[in-house]
Amino acid sequence: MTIIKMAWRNLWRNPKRTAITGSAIAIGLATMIFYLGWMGGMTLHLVHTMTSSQLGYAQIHADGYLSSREPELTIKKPADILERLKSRKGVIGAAPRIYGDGLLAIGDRSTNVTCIGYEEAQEKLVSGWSENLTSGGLPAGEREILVGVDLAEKLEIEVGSKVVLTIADIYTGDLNYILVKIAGILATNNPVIDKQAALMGLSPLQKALGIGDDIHEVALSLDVSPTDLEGIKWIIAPFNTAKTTAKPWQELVPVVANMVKLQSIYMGITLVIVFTLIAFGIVNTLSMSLLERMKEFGVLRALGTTPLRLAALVICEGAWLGVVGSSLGLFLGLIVHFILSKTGITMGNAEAMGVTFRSPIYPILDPTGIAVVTALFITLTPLVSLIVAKKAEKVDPIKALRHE
Amino acid sequence: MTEPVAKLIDVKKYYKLRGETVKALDGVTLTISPSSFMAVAGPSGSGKSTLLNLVGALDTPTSGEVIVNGENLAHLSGTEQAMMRRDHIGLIFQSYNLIPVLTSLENVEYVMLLQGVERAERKERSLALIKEVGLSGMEDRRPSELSGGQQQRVAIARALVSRPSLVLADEPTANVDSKTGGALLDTMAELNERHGTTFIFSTHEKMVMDRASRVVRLRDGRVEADEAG
Repeated sequence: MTIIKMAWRNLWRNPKRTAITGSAIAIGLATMIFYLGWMGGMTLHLVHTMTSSQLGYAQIHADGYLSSREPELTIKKPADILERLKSRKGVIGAAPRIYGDGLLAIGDRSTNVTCIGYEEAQEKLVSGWSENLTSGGLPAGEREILVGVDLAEKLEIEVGSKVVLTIADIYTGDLNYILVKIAGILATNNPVIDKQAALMGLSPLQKALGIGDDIHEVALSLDVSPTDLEGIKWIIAPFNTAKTTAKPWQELVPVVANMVKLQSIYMGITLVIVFTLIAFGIVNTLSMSLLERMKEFGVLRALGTTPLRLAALVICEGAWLGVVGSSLGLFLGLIVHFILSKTGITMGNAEAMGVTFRSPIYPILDPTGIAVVTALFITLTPLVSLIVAKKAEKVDPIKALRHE
Repeated sequence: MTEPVAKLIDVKKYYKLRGETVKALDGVTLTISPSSFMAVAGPSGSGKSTLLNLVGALDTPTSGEVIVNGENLAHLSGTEQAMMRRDHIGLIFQSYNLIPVLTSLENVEYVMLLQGVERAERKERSLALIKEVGLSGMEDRRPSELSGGQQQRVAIARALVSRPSLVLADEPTANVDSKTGGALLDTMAELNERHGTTFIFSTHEKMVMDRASRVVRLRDGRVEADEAG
């Protein structure tokens, strides 16, 4: 009979109370495991959507363009840069783009649009717009465009609809009216694209804007993890010159990058809140148990049990409670995780950080995170029981023996 | 001359109760020789339990000295007092006070566990004492599965298993019928003779006083009489 065995038996003297507190620990841990997976899935979805819908892993612009968005600030002779990018180690795709404001009209309906000129062969390596077509196909000629799903709905247009696109020459201000056909409609989860983009070939937009062969942007996809900031910076470093600026996506949308960074802080805060609530339950259970067994504690003291050993008994009981609750919580958390990783979590088209969560979020299994959270639960439970153990340590055998 | 197992020198124990000073013990001086089979008798409130608590290192006197096995208990810390009880004093309570989650064998073994006695020796000594108190075959029963008399026998075995020089029994027969009480006294008398362990009982039962080799009568916290049984 060891103190550990005795603590285990004591734990089941009031099975109902132990079950309630153990369940609280289990549910708390399962919630944390779910939250860990969900946050991981959200972050992955967010970063993936950001980087694959328009942003890319990094972008190169003419110096000053990013801060002013002046259409005249173009990358001159882009063929040279694009050639260098092709041979740069770690670059998977380099998609040239141009941007221009336009007006899209059909019948008596019209709306401002952002025209994006792109080159499909490179773009499919970066943004995967073509994979997000909900209807129709890719533009077959200069007079065909793609529009976002929300824009199509707003203008009540569909594949095959003919619309008038008005674009001004950026140098002369002359208006170009182009009759274009809707080749396809896409849904990217990126509101900028879905609500206001008209996507067309690079060269017809260059012509309409009067910018010759110039481009505004090169978006890159790279052979590193999107969260590997240092890796991205190393690959794009040679393109930071006097004429061009190359930035990783983390610097282009710092809000999202910071949110990803803050994720571990959110997790920590949630863990503290959840565990504080559970700690009250643990202290309550052990305190009740101490009070009910006060006479027994007096007997143990009278038999020669040292105050320290009595405290150790209470801590052992807390530790068992932690082990039982956490084992159950780990099991429950993993079950919930595996079910949700099959079904996904529907976010009801919620929008956050410029990303629409149209498709379900699939939680990510983070073994390290789960191990750390479980270990924390198992470690913190006996630590919390120290509060009650201190009381047990002070039990006066005479007073305790009189306790009924 | 043989060293006394316990000695009380002008021991006083006062405490406050609703603003009044209660003199639980008021200047008690006693010398208890080894192998005694002694009863401390007296009516309720006479100071019997207080005396046992002081000798058992469970309580401290207001003044005076309590010396057990040559150690002045006032000089011991809480942990040292616990070790004194563990190694030299066996306790038997009126209401048995066995640990409910432990079996008879485990209850008897418990003090030896605190002493760090090897598992095999613990078991051997416990089984031998369980046999001596007449409970062979009941080693694996928990207290709830035993009668009052059987529980008190386990408590006796528990008090003796660590081979203490002194066993303090607070009204050990009060909660059992007279036949069982008599049998328990027989067992304790036998153990007293066989092991030479000193027994001090607090009691107000004639049956216990008749069996004692010495009876100390207390009244209002003072020794009223100290006579051979």
